[in-house]
Amino acid sequence: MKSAEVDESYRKRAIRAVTFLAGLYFFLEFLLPESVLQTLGVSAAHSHISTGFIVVGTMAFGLGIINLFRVHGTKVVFRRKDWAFSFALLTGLICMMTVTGLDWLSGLSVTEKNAEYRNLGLFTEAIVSDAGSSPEEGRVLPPKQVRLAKLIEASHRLAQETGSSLDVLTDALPSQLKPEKRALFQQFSSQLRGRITTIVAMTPQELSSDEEILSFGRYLNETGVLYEKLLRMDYDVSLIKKVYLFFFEGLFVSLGSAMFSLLGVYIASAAYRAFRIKTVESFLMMMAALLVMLGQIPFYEYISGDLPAVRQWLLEVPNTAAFRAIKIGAAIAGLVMAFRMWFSIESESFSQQGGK
Amino acid sequence: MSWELATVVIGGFATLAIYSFLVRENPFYRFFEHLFIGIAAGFFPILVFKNFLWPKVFEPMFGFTVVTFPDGTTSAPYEPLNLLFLLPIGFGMLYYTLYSRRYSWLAKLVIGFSLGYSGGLAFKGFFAEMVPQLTGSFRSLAVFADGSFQLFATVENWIFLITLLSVMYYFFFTFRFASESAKGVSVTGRWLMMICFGAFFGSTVMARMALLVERLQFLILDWSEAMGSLVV
Repeated sequence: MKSAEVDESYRKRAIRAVTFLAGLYFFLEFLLPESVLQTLGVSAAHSHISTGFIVVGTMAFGLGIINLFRVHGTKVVFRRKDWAFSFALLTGLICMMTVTGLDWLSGLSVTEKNAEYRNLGLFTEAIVSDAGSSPEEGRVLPPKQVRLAKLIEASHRLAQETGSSLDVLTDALPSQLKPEKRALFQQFSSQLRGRITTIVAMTPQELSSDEEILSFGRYLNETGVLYEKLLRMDYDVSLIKKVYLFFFEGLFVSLGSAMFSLLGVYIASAAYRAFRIKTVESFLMMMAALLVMLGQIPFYEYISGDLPAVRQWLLEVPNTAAFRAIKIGAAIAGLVMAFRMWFSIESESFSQQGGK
Repeated sequence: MSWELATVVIGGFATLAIYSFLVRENPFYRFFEHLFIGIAAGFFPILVFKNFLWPKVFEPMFGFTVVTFPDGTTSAPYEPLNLLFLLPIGFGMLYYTLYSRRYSWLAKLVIGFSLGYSGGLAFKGFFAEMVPQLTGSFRSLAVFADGSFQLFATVENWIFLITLLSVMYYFFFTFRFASESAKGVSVTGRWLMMICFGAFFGSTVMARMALLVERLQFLILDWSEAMGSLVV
């Protein structure tokens, strides 16, 4: 046997083995009893393993983008026929990726401010729970009073930073907001100022019981939520958000809705040609469609008040039953297909072709 | 022109460009069609990264989920097992060997993995989702509530069951419908299936029509106003 053929044989076996092992995990995870899965440690790690499986699939996203660039980029570079459309496609892709990415990063920085407060809230919970239990082996914890002093110090610093940031927002933001939002901003900012004053005035001596510490933690959490609301108002009028909305609402949503509604026009025109009542089947189909459509429009009252109920019944009883029968048949076929894929029977040619 | 106004104006042009296809295919339509594909292709990878990869994989892997408190202690120790996420990332990267003539077979390992994984998952999905639906389909043929016979609910259940069985019977291709009664069941199945398709068709058309109405409202109310403010 030639070396290339040996290589091909190994590759084929490796592909089949990987295909089989990938399917085996979910197969066993479904069939084995929970006690066995717990003993093996699969139950605890299942969500991580499932995430890992999905991660493998998500890596293919780049392939699509690279292929788009290869196909349309070539057209643009060599000025082939319809290159301008390819240019529009690539421009849309790059702009949308950039804008969505920037919108996400800016959103992250807004939630980060709330997270600082939330982390202090978590710290109060940790102080209380650690004081009531012995620390884990090798973990050294400062005394409770030291931790409380650190909590108060950090809260003061954060509250002061929030105060300075709020001053900047109060100077610049209201003029950019619509009247109803402006009123909301005034309401939130005065609430936040009150909270800042309370936090800055807080001393470790006021946190003598566990309940008081936890209550202060909840207060910090609520302050963080309030602060985030104000920062989000600021972000909503920022240039990044406006550009993002231009692409998302102005183009993506408008084009998507228009595309799908265009299909509605074509479905209706196809129905005009297809629904000529020549057979019992076409009569039944048209009657069902007509009743469902009439039951959904506001004019049904002029025909019969019962039309919405008839529509609902048609959808819930005969439609559900027939669709379920079709689904059961399709699912059985799908199960057979799944087995064929799992055992690499379906993809025989795929695994045989090797690297060619 | 403000960004808000520009958003409405471009939305109207985009809608009109797509509807211009009703007359015939034209460059205006094709331009926006390509733009839509590009925008959709650019939007979803970032969405997946933002909603899945970042919070579920990268944040735990980089230890961003571990909070450092003001006294220097942490909310939880860093979990080094999270670094195992590098394995699926590395394995998934083998997709890109498709571009190498020599190593392209490695990409088939990942494709095989995805096929096998979806096969195993489909097996689980069939028994977890379809079997309860199948059991739930066989409803009671005589419904009683508070000790009294419920005629409407009983008839409804009979119709449901007859539809389910006759439609399933229609799809038996493994034997011929020799007797007249067998043919009758099959024909009933076909008729009931037509009612299902009709209802399905009606719902689909209405969903699309709702979108059409929304677009027309946008054009007539928002867009015309925005264009009016531009002209004035």
